[in-house]
Amino acid sequence: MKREIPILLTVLSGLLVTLAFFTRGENVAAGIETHWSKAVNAELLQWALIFFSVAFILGIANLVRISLKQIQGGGADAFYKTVMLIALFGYLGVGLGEYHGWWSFAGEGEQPMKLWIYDKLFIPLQATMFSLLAFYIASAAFRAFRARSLESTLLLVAGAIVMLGQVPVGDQITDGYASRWLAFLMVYVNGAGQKAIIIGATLGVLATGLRIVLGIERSYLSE
Amino acid sequence: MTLCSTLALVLHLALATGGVIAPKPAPQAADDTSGAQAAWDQLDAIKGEGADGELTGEGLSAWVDTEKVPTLMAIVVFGLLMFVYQRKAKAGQEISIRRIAGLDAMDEAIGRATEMGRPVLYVPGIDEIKEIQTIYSMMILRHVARKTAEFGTDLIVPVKDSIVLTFAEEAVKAGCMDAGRPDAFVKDNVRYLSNEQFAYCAGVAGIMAREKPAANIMLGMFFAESLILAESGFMTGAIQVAGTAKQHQLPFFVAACDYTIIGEEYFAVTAYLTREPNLLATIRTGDFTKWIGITLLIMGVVLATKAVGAEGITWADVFLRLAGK
Repeated sequence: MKREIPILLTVLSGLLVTLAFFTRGENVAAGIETHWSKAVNAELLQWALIFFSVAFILGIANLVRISLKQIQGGGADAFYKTVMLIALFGYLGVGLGEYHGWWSFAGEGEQPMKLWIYDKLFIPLQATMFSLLAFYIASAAFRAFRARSLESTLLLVAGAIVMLGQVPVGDQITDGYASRWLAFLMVYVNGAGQKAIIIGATLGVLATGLRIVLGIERSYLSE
Repeated sequence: MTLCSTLALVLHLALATGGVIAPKPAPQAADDTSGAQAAWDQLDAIKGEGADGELTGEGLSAWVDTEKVPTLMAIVVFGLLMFVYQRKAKAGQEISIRRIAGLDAMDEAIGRATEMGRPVLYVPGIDEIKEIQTIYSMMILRHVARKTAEFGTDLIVPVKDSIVLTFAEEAVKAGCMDAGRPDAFVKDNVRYLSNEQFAYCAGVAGIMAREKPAANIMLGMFFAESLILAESGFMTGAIQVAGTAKQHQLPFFVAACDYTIIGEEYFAVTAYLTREPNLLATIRTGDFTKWIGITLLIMGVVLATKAVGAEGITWADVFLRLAGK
């Protein structure tokens, strides 16, 4: 029963959500009421939200437990974990205090401290992390564009054309051909390749979805 | 596959310019009882739509979203094909599956990590569990966990979503059980890092830099962080296997990883690894469906070619339509 009940729940939920996708919602003008499956689906989504909220606590518990162990162990990570825990509980304290009116760090008309921390510290840190992408693209492209084989040479030529086509000087030195070649590569070659991947992936998604909903794929279940 | 997609575009063009699907005629006078109009009226009655396409509250449209009927039909046909192939597989028909280098490389990567005495890092993407790629990633994680447990290698799984955390713990535990080594499950190695994309990314990059896993397996749904993760892993010298069905991230993985599992290959992993006939049958169903699509596309090419010259359509029109102009 430990296996059968989860499979049954998966199959029933899967079929119900599929049914809700194909049934019609409310249409007052035509006198059509919302199908019951849509209502049940909406209720299930509410349950999922509750699960998400509870699981968030589990996530924090996992983070704190592992971090404390690493701090106790005194390894290379200990310093970073300490900073992380201070940030986690400090931000939680600031947010809770401001929400309940226990304390306020912001003056009249100023944004609350929790938003200040988010806007002035967290968002710039995220942007910093994202900006690393520019350097990583350069280093990855440098390796990928080495003309070692026919395929990599083709990649190099295509990359050069795309780069030339993206900048005004490219058109200047090729008499306007660079942007036309770029359009050809992007619309026909790249577009066709992308669509091929999308078609294959969509069929894969459909097959996997059916396998799970029909209970054929069970490897997500524990024994 | 590229040919397949080009043909899809041509089919679209053929249908649009060749007049293969005749447009629904404008409503005629009330006394018009011609065959075509009567057929359209009958279809409208079944669908529950009026002459102008408005819902009448009767017929099929009273409870079915009629715009989604083609999708439903496609799913039913796919399901029926899957059923047929499963019957064949159960009857003993051998279903072969081509070699996928990226999947073979996973064992090699785990073996290398074992030889070096360093852990394996498994990144299951950054999307929530409702994303099919994340669900599938959990299934693959179970196989990876079984292998690492068999080899006695540590497996580190950092996750971005707290629900995924519980799934990942279960998957690793189940994998260790499959290997007959429940003691190989280390709870602290399945780690929740952050719910924020780049904070998570920084955390994973930190694990790569400090714990130096010998193999990085990245399978799931990835966004802008894909290249940061792949390049961070490359810098540590780890063997890297990545896979996703998200086509925009594939070039990054191809450039920075040793092996990349592309698109549909990603959804063939469990069938490939287990060789279970039921699962292999679904792969064959997908292949057969592609053949149906290719046949339709070839028909489209023929019709598009025929359309040139008819009603003043020129090759220039054909190419402009292909270019979306």
